[in-house]
Amino acid sequence: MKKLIIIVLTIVSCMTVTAQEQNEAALVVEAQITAYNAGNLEAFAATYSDDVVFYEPSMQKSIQGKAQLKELFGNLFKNNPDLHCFIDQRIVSGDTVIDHEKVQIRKGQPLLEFVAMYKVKEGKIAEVYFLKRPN
Amino acid sequence: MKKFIFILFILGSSTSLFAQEPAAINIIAQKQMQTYNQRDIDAYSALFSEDVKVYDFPRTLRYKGKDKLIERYGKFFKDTPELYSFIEKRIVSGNTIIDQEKVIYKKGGTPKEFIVMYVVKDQKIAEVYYLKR
Repeated sequence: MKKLIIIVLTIVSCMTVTAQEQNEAALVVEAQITAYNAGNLEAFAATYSDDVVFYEPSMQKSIQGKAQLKELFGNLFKNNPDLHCFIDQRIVSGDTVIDHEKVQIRKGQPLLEFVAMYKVKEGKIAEVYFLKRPN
Repeated sequence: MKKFIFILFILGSSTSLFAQEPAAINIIAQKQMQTYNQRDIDAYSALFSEDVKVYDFPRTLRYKGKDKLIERYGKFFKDTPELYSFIEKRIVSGNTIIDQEKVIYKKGGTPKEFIVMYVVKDQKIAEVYYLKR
């Protein structure tokens, strides 16, 4: 009986943690990661606004607009069937989601580490800032 | 005696946990929060480099230099005796710490949320970016 109570308590506390993280912005970013890991370009692009902008750590713009996004990620998905992104840590605050991401490009290769900040507007990812990129 | 063994056990397990962490930057991150909560301006400012730069993300400079930081935080610590902050979430990657922090200025007050990125160079915090305030 005691064990059961502990299990129930654990499940309940896990649910609370999940609930905190699942605001609208987090759901959109999560859908984006799921599509990325499925290599599903249409579903991936659907999570972004038409005039999305990606910024490098230098604040240089690396992607402007959904057409460019589709071209770049289309190639990435096509050329890397083992591509997989793991979320190490996630910060969620209002319209802002910051993910500590570890990316497998090819099986057996070391994971690449990124920190990306997503700004979500009207249910779509409108801005992406790479705070850290692999050296 | 049992209690003593228990304490030793806890000490032992936290030490080994600590050893697994990528040491230096995590220590800086932890000290930053500790000294802030102790409102110890000397220990706090010692964590920053002489020419530290503090920005609103991405590039709006709020101020630079440890002198300015000491001036601001020295006064702030003195004027805010009930100051308390805690980390909601922390990301550590290479030389970079990103903290989701909650700050309480007065007991019973509503916590204010900040997301702050610290870039560490030569064992000191060299750049601070407010990602959200």
